[in-house]
Amino acid sequence: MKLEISGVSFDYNSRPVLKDVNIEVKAGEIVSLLGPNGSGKTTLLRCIDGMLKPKGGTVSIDGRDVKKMKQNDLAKLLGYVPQRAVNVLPCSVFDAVMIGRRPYIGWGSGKKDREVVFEILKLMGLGDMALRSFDGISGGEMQKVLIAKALAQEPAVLLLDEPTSNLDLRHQLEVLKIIGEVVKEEKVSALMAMHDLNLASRFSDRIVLLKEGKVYDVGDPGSVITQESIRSVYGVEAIVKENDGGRPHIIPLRAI
Amino acid sequence: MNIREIKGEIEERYAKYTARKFGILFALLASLVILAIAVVPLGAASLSIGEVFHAIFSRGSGRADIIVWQLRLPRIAMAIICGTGLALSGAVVQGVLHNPLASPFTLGVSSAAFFGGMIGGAFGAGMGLNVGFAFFFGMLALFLIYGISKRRGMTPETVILCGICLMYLFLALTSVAGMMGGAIGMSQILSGFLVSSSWDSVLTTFVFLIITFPLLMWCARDLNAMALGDDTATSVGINVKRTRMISMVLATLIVSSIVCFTGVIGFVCLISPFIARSVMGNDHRFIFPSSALIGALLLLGTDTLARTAIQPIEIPVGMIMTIIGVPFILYLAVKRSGYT
Amino acid sequence: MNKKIMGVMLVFIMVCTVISVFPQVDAHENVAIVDTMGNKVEIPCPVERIAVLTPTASEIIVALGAEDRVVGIDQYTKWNDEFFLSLRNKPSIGLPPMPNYEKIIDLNPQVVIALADPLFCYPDLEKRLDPAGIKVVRLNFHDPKTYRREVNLLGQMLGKEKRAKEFLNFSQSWVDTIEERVKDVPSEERVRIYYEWIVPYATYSEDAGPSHTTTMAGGASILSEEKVSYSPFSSHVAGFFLLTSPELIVEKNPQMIIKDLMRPSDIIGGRMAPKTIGYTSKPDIKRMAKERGKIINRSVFKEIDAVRNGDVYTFAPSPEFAMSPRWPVALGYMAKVFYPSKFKDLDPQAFHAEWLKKWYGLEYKGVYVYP
Repeated sequence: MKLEISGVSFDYNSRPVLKDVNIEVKAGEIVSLLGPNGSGKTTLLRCIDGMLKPKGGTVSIDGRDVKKMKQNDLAKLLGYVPQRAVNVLPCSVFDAVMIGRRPYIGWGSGKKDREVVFEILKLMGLGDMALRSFDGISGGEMQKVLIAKALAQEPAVLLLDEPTSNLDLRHQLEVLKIIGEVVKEEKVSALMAMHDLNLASRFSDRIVLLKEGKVYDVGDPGSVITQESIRSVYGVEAIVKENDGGRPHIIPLRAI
Repeated sequence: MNIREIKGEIEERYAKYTARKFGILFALLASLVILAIAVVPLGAASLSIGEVFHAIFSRGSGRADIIVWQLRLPRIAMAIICGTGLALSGAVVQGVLHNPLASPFTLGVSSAAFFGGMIGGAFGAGMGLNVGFAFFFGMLALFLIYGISKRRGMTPETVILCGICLMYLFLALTSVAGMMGGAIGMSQILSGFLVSSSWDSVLTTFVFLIITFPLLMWCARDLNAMALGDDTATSVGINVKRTRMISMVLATLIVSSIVCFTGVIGFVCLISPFIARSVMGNDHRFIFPSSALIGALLLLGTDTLARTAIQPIEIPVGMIMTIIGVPFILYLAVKRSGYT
Repeated sequence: MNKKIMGVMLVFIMVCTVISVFPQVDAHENVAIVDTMGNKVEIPCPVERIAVLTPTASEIIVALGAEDRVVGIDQYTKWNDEFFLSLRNKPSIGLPPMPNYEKIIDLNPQVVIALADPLFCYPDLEKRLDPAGIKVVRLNFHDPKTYRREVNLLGQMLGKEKRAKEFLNFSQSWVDTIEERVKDVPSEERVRIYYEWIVPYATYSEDAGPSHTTTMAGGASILSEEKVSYSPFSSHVAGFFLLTSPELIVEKNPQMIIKDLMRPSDIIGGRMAPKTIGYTSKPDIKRMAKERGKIINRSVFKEIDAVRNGDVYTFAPSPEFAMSPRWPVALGYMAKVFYPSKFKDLDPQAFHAEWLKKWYGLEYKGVYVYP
């Protein structure tokens, strides 16, 4: 299954935020959305998951228009991982992940739902803390729980809004590695908004560079992340090297 | 450790965890039944336990029958229903606003509803209109507070502060309206009372409760998801706005139907969900029933005190609830500040 | 089913099937009476078992010598046990605003006497007691306008008509004398009175007993021409107390001020602190003087005639004085302070002492008016 975004545009208070965005994410592929603050990354994600209604263009999953789908059916296809979770009234980790089963079940949870949740907790390495309270765990673990929740939806498309922004170095690597594994194993299409160019370059199959609501460039990391594109999009002078995986690695120097 | 083992272990722990919650629910229910039976023989009338239970089962002689069937039983039933309803609506409001300090009382919804009920009463068109007016004003207060809480930079504490302002506004309006209407014993009415419980009031409030309770339980699971944020809830297929609207309407409906008969009994709707949360965790499917049961226990206990502590003098139950409630809130405040 | 909703009170019934019990039929003859609220009540006559929810009714029952019929008294009567000596052992049925229905039904009176004042018009009372066949009769006994009728009615209910007549005649000539002497005072020459209730700047409304008494004594309330509409919602409920603007009082410039004194201990009869004003063996005239001083020292009142001439009087708590069955005594004191020259021969204290002795069998004691 693949995610297709064609000609999507969006206005916020009649100020255009997205202009004719076209992106395609194939099954088993991780695509990173890069771009400076205000370039429309989060807005694009929200147009995809239906929180915002695009002014023009269509978003379709496997050829089905998202707009025409029921919210509950969409939830079975599309998992969304927010930047951070609100946890004023925290529940247990198990229950938090179980929320991802909401599209499939009614009020209670069946044996199959529990099986799925146990499986995912194991996969994410969260087994030990299944019954811990959601507010008693670290930020990294919390992020993993949110990803686990999205995976519990058994989605075809995974949207992640800066999944590493609140994490320390170790957790950043760990979380992105898990996302990579899941995407390959489950043949999921993943689209994630990212701030860290080096992490994006290392863990993504392709990069979409957004500038002022428009797609500046699309392609594999090596072709998109260049000295010139960074200068043009971010307004930053940087050195681009190559890391041990053959991916571009940037060292920012100064703002222009 | 292989997958099977871990799964088995988690599954076992989860089963225990769930069983414990059901155990607590059952224990609460059992203690409510026991308390309800235990307080029937208590009262100002000099009836022996034998006479009381004889009156309950055989509907015999005039006086004992009236005392038990027209005064004690409806009052006990009303205490249970009001406790249940207020505590339930408190839990709902806390769940919707994600604010553990919220309750219909601290947000001014109760006093707004009471004011509405009083305005409705001025037209004298009957209880239905009273509840309708109460509901209208209750919703007005709740939406105002909800709007305020959605503004940027509002902490739960500021929201409560606004709620308490609303509460005082409506209490003042009620006092003014009451004064102009030549009303009677304002202090008693404003602090809530169960003296005038009758089977009519029991039936009316019970009807509202029995209709709303299952619907709220249906919302409980979605409220759990909404506790993780609106985004998360939407992404699992929940119509966040609709769920929020339904639960707020239902909670206000319960409160409105109750305050029309009893005045504003505060604190039970704040304390009960809090206790429920601390023993049950934050799963609304368990918080709702446990909070309801705790509220019923609390109000029944308090009202029994109110009618027997210095009999034959009646103390308005709201006053006792406040006397118990305020130290509890102070304790909470101190304890919370200790954490941070 | 005797489930009539009586009189003007609002009883809301939405969905109901109240289980009712037919009132017991007894050997007595039933008569229909109309009480001060205008409610038509059918009661057995004479009433053998009666409960009171107001001390004013207790006082009349004592005067009629019908204490043996009383099965329950309100808590205020109970607390005032120095005055209600002959009722002190009767069980209490709670505070008038929130009576204990259970206790009332348990004591099984035929009739309960409650106040007809809007402040205490609990619609619940009738609703609650009706299933038990207990009738509620609402009588005040503290308002000159309805006093005679009420006393006669209670006398009739208790089969003590003759005693009630004698009791009324005792005070009637006293009242007539006073009214006769102030009758010819032209309205513009009448003394302007500000009568303050317990709460500062709260006064009695025009329909309250003490306002009638003031008029009968030849006084003119400074607010009488204001025609204050008290209740825009319910015209049938006459208000009782009014909060008045101090500005208005200053502008109207009363010639005399009367202040009702009351503190909790005066009502609950020395359980918190000794009762010191009203009928008490520990009278404290100093307290009355002190309270009077407080009024005189109110800075807003500095320029008022009453304060300048020292015409400020403190009265004992109205529930046992100006707003009690002994309002004629208060009337006497008022007349004497309003028109000292006209009433030189009047001795309200002697009249009061005679009243207490003759009708209640009590020695005169306590303090009622200062100075």
